[in-house]
Amino acid sequence: METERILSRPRTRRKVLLMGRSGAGKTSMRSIIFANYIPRETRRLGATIDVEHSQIRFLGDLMLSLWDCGGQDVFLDSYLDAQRDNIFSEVQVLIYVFDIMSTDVERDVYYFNKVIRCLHDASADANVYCLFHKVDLVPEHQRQAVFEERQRRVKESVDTISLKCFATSIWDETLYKAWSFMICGLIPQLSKLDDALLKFCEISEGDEVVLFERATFLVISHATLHSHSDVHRFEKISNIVKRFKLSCNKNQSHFHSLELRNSQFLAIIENFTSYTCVLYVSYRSDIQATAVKLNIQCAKTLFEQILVS
Amino acid sequence: SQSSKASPSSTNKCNIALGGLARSGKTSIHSVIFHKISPHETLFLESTGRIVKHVVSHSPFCQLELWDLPPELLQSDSESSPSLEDIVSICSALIFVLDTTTETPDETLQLLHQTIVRCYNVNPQIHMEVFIHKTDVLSDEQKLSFQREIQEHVDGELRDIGLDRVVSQVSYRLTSIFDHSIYEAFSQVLEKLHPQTCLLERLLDTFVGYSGIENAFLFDAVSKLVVATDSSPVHGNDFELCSDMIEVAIDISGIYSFGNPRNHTKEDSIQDSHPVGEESFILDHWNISSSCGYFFQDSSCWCTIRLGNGIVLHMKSVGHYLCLVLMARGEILDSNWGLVGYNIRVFSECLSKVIKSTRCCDA
Ligand SMILES: Nc1nc2c(ncn2[C@@H]2O[C@H](COP(=O)(O)OP(=O)(O)OP(=O)(O)O)[C@@H](O)[C@H]2O)c(=O)[nH]1
Ligand SMILES: Nc1nc2c(ncn2[C@@H]2O[C@H](COP(=O)(O)OP(=O)(O)O)[C@@H](O)[C@H]2O)c(=O)[nH]1
Ligand SMILES: [Mg+2]
Repeated sequence: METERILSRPRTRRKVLLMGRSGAGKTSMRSIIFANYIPRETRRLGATIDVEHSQIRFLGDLMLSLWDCGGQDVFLDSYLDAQRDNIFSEVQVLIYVFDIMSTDVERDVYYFNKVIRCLHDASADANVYCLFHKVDLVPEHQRQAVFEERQRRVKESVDTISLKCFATSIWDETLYKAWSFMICGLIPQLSKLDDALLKFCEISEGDEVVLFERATFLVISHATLHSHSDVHRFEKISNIVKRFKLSCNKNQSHFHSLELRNSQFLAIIENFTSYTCVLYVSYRSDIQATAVKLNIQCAKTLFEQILVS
Repeated sequence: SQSSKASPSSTNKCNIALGGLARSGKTSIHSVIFHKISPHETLFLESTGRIVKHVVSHSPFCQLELWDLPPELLQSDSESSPSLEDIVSICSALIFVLDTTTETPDETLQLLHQTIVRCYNVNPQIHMEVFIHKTDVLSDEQKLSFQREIQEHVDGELRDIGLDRVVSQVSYRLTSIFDHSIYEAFSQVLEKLHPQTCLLERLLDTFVGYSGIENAFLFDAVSKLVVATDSSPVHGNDFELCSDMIEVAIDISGIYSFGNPRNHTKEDSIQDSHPVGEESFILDHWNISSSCGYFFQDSSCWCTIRLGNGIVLHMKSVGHYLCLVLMARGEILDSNWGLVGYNIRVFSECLSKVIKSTRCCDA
């Protein structure tokens, strides 16, 4: 029965366009999130020719159809003209990537504007996200200012639609923050998951429980009983664990589980449902790791059910 | 016999000089290992143009003074004071950073040769370490041929001037800050310099033997340099995996041990017995950063990671900013946790004794 469900065809398909000018970093980020590249390896990527399609199964039931659109001017011109219907029809999400170090902002904005107009005509309901990428190249104290300035320029050019903007870099957790946010918006069972996770957290006497998609380690949902000062902690953990997983792969093995304890807290990371991993954190010093693991086992079935509903 | 000038000064710190051409990666190397800046951030490093002394006060086996030397100092016509000779006379090792991407290979090799000779003349005991650096841009094949070429060239030149003895004193290591190679290279240098290495290795061998595990590593937890390993062979990337595990543990602890990170400040003892005047270089004193300071002070900290192939990694802090990482088969460890726990305690006690006796000797 278990295998049957895993093999069943995903019922939800979502078309995601990844666009932006050549060299902006589209293929790099896709390779890191979905194809287990390490950041350094992206230097070897060549320019994408026309559109590269990939089908990515996410959480079992969701099929992302990702269109990585090569960004050289000839290709962009053709998307906007000859290929227009093919590219822009039935799009659910547009992810538009700007190189934050670009010296030709004028032309970046010009293309973005045209893309938005085509998208509006063909798929008016699509969500639009703008990523200002390669922020690692901007000295830290200038990042916020540069990001805001670029964001303002882009937003001005298309004042009719609402966009969500992120500053990202393949070198840190900002990439996970942006992608978690964009992909989570596509999960239909999200609110049910949030509720169930909160309940699980309370019952198992945890202080924080986080659900990650297993292959990408993107954050899907979290339950937090006490406020925590570090708002980027989930993405940091995604980044930390993903890096370690790659390190295990290099050793012809794979990551199975983690248990970490000091005088302040206990943390456990384990495989959870077929497509998720869970992080459990408790600040209680008397909490038993074995009891927590048992609780995690027991909650599995419930979460499997929510995910296929 | 050796002149008293050549032995390290009264502090028990080990002096290491870093030399090479401009932009070869000297500052990047020690910033990445000891300052915890990420490799890609080295892009923003600026040339200092002066001698900078970095004092590293980590675990008892990682007490270093690193001398970051400006390239001009290596030029034979340099009139700066202190001179290369002044500094090298107090150093146990000189790391020459050789940039594989350089556009002037002949000049670099010439400088390397000349530096080796000068260092050897003032300090015949010195370990010469050539870091063939930025190898991330090379293929595996290129790396090896690079190393062979450089080594043959230097050996030949040394033999030509009758310094055959020096040939065996020069080690070559392939390094890059973008992968684990720089940690391995630097660990090997440390292991070579530290008088306790053999003793620690024997201790670890005993520990491994009695516990029925595969490998044990003793790490300087802050820098993630390995201080000692047991003598059984280490499989491919195991060392890297163990050091990555420490990183995972530090990073996650950093997020969730929000309990006030008590700042650890080591007594900043700046010594005055150097032949090199204090005012002639910049001193940079690094303390264990507060974010991970808490982690290493917390003696109850441990971490276990299970891998798909049945191997378990277990890390335990053993005090003095050191941590022990062991690798074992899951089924063996799971039926022996009591024994292994006991052996870890015994090991830490022995370790404390070693450290204490080292301190006594120094006094
Ligand atoms: N410093 C830095 N470099 C990056 C980052 N992301 C990508 N790069 C580099 O940017 C270069 C171009 O990346 P690609 O992903 O091939 O660019 P692309 O947008 O797919 O380009 P086209 O396929 O031609 O449209 C690569 O050398 C990457 O290593 C980042 O966050 N920071
Ligand atoms: N590709 C590559 N670049 C490196 C490496 N190490 C350092 N660099 C780069 O080399 C440049 C010069 O480094 P720096 O440490 O300032 O050199 P220094 O003048 O010898 O101290 C910096 O831009 C570093 O990012 C490496 O291992 N690989
Ligand atoms: Mg591309």
